[in-house]
Amino acid sequence: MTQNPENSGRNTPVPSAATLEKELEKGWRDHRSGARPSSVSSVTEDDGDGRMVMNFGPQHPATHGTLRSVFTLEGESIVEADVEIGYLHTGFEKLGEHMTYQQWVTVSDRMNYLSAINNNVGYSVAVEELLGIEVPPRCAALRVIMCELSRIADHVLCVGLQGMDLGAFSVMLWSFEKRELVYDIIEAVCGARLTTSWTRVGGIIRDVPEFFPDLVYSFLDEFPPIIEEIHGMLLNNKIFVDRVKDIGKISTEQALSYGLTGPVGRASGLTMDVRKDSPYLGYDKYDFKVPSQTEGDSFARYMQRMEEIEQSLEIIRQAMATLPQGEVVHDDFKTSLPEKDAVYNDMESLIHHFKLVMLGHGIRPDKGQSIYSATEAPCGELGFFIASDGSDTPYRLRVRPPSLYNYGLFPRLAEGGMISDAVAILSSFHVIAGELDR
Amino acid sequence: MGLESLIGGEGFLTTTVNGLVNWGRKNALWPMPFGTACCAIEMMATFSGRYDISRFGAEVVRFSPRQSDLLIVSGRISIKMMPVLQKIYRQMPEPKWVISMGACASCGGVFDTYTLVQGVDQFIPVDVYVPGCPPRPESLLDAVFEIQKLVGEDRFDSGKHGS
Amino acid sequence: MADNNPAYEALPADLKSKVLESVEHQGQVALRCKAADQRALLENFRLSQGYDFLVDVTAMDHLGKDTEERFEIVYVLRSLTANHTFRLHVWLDESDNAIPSVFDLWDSARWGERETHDMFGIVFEGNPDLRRFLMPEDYPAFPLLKDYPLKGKEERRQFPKVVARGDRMVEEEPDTYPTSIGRQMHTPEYIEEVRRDSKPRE
Ligand code: SF4
Repeated sequence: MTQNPENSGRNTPVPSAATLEKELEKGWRDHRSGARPSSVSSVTEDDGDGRMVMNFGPQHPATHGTLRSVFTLEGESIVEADVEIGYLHTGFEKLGEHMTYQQWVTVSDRMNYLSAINNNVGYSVAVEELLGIEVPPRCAALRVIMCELSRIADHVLCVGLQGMDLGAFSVMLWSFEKRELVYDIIEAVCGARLTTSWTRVGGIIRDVPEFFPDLVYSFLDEFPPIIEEIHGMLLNNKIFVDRVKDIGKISTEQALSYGLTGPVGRASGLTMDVRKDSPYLGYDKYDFKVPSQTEGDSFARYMQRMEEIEQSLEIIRQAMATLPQGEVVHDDFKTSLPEKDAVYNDMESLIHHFKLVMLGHGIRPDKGQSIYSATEAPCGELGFFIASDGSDTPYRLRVRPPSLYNYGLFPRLAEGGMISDAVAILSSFHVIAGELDR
Repeated sequence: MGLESLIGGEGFLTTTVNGLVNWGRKNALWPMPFGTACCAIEMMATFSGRYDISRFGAEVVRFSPRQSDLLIVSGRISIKMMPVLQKIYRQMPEPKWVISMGACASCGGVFDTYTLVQGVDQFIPVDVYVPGCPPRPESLLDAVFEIQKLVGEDRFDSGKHGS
Repeated sequence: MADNNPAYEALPADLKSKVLESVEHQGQVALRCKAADQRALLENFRLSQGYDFLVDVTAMDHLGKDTEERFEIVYVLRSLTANHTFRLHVWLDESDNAIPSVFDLWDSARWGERETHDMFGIVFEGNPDLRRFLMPEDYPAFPLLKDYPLKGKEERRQFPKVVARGDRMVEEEPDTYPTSIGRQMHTPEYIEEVRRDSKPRE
């Protein structure tokens, strides 16, 4: 073993993972045989110095799922904040090591369930990059359209929830109504509302129905007035504006150091967008701006999302106007599943399909290849690190969830503010628990 | 559904106390949404505009277990979350009913992994299961009707689960 | 070696020799080094070369594989000014199991390292906050190690069943019932399967 000069000052040897595990196992057994885990019991306590420890979550309406924060309070203000996550840990990464490349698409929806298509696309793009294949232009354009639709749905819901947390309940009801417009399109395209599993490695499940352009165009007509409506409801609401302005300010340096991406990062002047910086799926063909704000407060994050919605509408418009005809699945059937119709009616496609779905025969990237590939999801940069060992399942599948790194700054921001500010900050971060904990 | 139609023109009605209490209970369920994952989004869709659960008297969503009588478990329950769910179930006053919404809450769904509880009904009693991943809002509405049926069959003075 | 990676080209000569190899796949470069040189290289990338964005920290477990060491830590680095992303893979010996933290260079490493610790049991020395992260405090294992089975070691069943009896809440033995795939747990076949899962894959 090479001695690390940095470590030489260490006086106790670091236990190996196996030793640590053994110790923990003993603790776990003791714990289970006795009382319930202590971590969920403490609600409030006063330890004599006038400070109070308060649990916020994991089941609290303003935590949107399963986030838990522990605040040390002095009166109303937070002197110390700590967060605990993992209440929705599902083992996506471990599951990735046991599922074939195509199968994991299904699992990827369940990560960020507000915009499942972005996850599907992000994962498929990553595997395609690992394999070095490029999808047909029609497939790429359709993916872009659906991604942007999901992004709109995600942002509009986030804004609605932000309103709801700050007392403007009707915004949330309205934004859900608007989300249903997007659900209608998603349902027409892939049959499910939420968990779409729409993409495949090398393409999409099937071509869109004939009436798809009508749906999208009517959406494009219906949606823009809604932006005005939401602005009208929130910007004229003094309570909302006062509660978000100058709350939770993030400087650009902080954003950079903590690795914030997406609307949260861009609202702090970090003009980074994977769609522009390293375009995938032909995003460089579309003419759109990456909006950004400089204030970095909760209000800026609200404005940022609304401006991004406008840009997404712009991208959809352009993509619909130039939507090419043709195939939607990559034509090398060593890697991509043929369309379902063809499988049922055509001998050769059936053979290809069979070879791909049989265990041990599917997509097998070469041994030792690995890639980190990122796409821009509504919450930020969604990255996949995939390493292959030559078999038909990934050797390691790591998801870089935007929510995790975004959320890392939250406890620092909450400190020094009031409890009510913490709610305002948290709702503007839009942390999705499924993606945070995986 | 209205009382007027039951009373008719006479100004009085005859019923059993049990019937009256159950009629009140089943048309005013107060759900406690224990939403963790994707199913929670569909649950929220059920509560909001288009599907509008308030048509069936179950729209008073209480985030405090002490004020509610219907627990809707929607989403994946991890081993870290299970004690929380049990605590919330304990805190709900009797009578109480539980809906397990979605494949994950009912049996683990696609996630047969180390951290997910394979069905909450191993650890708390469940009255109605809703299949689907996620169930459509219509399915959740149907589950609420099932609960209403169950409530209608109960003896209100027996304690819901017997003793 | 490392033909077109600006980050490698800009290294001073003594650090260049620390880079063991450089692999390129689809235009993305991965450098490899030993754990002893990790800190010096990362400091150079951050402080002298302006790789100011640590995209991700993660690890890989090569149990039973013919690799140099058991663990491989992966840093994904990005420079916003140069718009360049590459990876640094660090070999980490199993018996050592500790590597210096880089949270002072990038704050995002705080949580990245904490998660890697939680999933692999690797100790990042100097990181102020290495508590359990995604798993419960007292969880008995590091789940992403290759010798930990996908379905766990029955931790997910160790809760009592809470039922209402009259107006009291009582705890009972949990139900034993078929899982989603219709099989009884705790049967010899099930245990056999768990054992099989826990073997490292070839
Ligand atoms: S059943 Fe499906 S939709 Fe519901 S929580 Fe589980 S994975 Fe998500």
